[in-house]
Amino acid sequence: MKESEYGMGQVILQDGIMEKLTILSDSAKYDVACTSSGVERKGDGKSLGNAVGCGLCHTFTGDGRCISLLKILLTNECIYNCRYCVNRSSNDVKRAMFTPEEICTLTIEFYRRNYIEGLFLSSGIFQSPDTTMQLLYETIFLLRTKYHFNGYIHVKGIPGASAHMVEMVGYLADRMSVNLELPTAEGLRELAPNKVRKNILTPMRQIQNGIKESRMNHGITSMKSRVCIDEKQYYEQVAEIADSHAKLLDYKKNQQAILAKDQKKKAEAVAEESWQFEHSSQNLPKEGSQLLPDRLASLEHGIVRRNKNHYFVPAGQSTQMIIGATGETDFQIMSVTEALYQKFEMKRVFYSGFVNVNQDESLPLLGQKPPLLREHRLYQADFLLRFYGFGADELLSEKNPNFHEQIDPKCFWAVKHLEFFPVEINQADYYTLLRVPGIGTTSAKRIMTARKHGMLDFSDIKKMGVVLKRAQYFVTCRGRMLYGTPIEEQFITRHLIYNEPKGQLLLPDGSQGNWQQMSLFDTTAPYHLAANS
Amino acid sequence: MEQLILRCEDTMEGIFTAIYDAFVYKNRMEGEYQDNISIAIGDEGEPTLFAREIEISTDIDKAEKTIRTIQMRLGISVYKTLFHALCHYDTERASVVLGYLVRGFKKGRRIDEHLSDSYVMRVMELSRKAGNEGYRFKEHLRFTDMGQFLYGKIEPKCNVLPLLTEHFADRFPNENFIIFDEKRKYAIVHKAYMPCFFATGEEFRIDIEQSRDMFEVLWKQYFKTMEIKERHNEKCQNTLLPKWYRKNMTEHII
Repeated sequence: MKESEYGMGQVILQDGIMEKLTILSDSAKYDVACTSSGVERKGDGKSLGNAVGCGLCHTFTGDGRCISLLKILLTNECIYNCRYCVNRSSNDVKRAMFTPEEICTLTIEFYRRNYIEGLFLSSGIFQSPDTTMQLLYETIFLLRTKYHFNGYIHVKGIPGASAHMVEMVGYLADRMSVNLELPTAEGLRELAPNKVRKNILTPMRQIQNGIKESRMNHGITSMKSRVCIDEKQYYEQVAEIADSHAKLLDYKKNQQAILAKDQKKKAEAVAEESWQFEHSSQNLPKEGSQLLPDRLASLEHGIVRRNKNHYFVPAGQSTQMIIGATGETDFQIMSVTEALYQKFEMKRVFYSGFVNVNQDESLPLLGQKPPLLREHRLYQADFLLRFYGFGADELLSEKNPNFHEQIDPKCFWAVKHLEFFPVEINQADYYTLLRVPGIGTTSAKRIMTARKHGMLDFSDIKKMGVVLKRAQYFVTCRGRMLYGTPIEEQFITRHLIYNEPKGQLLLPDGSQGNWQQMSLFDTTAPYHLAANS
Repeated sequence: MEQLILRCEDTMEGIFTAIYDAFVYKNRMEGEYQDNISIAIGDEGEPTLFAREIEISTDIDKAEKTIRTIQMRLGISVYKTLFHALCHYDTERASVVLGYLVRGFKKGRRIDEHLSDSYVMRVMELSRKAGNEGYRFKEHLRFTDMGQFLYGKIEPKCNVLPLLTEHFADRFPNENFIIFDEKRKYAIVHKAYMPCFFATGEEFRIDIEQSRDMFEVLWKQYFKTMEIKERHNEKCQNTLLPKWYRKNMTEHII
């Protein structure tokens, strides 16, 4: 192939790029979040990219997970030894490291071809958390300023990185996430001895406060809503950051010139003593990298929160935890989730079914399938928390700590709380409607608008997207139920399970469920379920 | 009452002209109107014995008047819904939209809330389906770098090109690109920093030899590596990305 066809990429991408991409995407894939939602930003009419509020999923891999962002690690070298992680320091795996320029080129070229929605940049801990965060910053700084990329950027917050670095990244990224890793601090101590609870929660809190402040300054009171960015203002922000960066470089050059003249060693020693520059900025890769503002200088000249109108992490914060590596119950997980939504105002909490990638014998699920059904139930419950007004306490309790294997959390709640039913479609308020299995947010809203103009019947609500298969046991239209079925726990549970299509009934071991034919005359006998084996 | 079929050209202008004329015929009718005018597009629809068929010739003025009236009297969001519905491939789309408008002009701006009316519901469904497909093609369209410009080819069921234009023009202002609809044989052409335009013709059809550059190879490799083998679930993949979308997607072409 001719050289000219490669364009700009040719210069920067070396032969090893294929191997690097393979290694660094392979080790990034266990991260769950790949969403590109939460911020609506129109293009500026000049440079590449915009952001779509509801996000776009560009393709789906063979495991049914979406690829929305280019999800890669900057490096898979890591000084930590978390037992669940494929990149732990004691693992003998191939290590690689991208240069910031390589990441920028890949992102831009993939983006142009409409393969991706943006970049999701994470990294193993290279040398120290702060060094790693600096490298991440440098990369997205290049991408936003030199390559003028206006698409979506999601950056991982590295636990233990300085507040200053986190802040600087926050002004350039759309979303940030700090992984909670495990549902309990105890589990964290056990499996990730190098990560400390405090180091995870501190940046989380900092990002939350930053987002809140920035949203307040733009007159957005909700932490949940999407942010629509007035593009001009956003561009001014990026330009300002680039500008202050340039000023900083000038300043440093002058400083160096002055230092070179006299008493260089003394000043260096004093600076080193008070701020330990060397400690944090040495050993950065030289190739293609730019000088980074150090802490003292940037506080004096810089970037940090000068302009209150800057957008800070406009698409909000998310986090994730591993499910099934330690012995938590669903109730514990849901309680932690609820706390994260309420106390840390997360946009999303993700669950990652544990895969024993390291074949570690001290960890569960050796050579087994990941707990997919459990993960699925948790996501279902997660949506109930976020959009349906449920609380963790309503769904589960100490006595009843795990979700039902055969019916979803909402049905499970409904059959346990039959005193709320039946619900009259033509009268019930929004949140009561939402509590009916088979009615979601869209169909509930449609019902609310349509019934202003006339009474609704079952045929109407069916067209509006209500799943009558589940809803029929819980609702009335004009005072009547669809078939006059009894409102009785056993009866409904049995029918709900029976109504599931055969192939979709997943059992916890990953096999599919099968059931015995129900007799017409059989109304009370408990329902039998046998696993295919 | 007499059944009327208005036959119009298969373009947005053609359909809006037919809608204009339909109202003219409707107003001439005596008694209560009972949805007895339907609009057939192009050669679509079956010939019937008991209906009078009238050829409608496209008139830009009439079409613009119709559009303006809809926007003024029913609002922009209703117009958008109707436009999306007309992008659907259903042969009855124009008749359904006509029925919707008849009710809309009677009931006013909040016509979209009358979901228990079958015409309103159908329009909403058509519009939602076409809109969703347009949304899917924003995701699944793939460009090939042809050196001078980016080229993307799609074979959508609905007429999604009008729904894609704004998005891609906003996203790639600095690129030259062509998106070609292989079914309807027309394309959007975008020159860098210029407005888009539509162009018809086979000459926009380009057969692409595989893997024109290293980024396609890299992308395919990336796509392959991202799958977690332990979680393999083809059924889930097929639900989320139906196979007919994959025809022109780089990573699914072997």
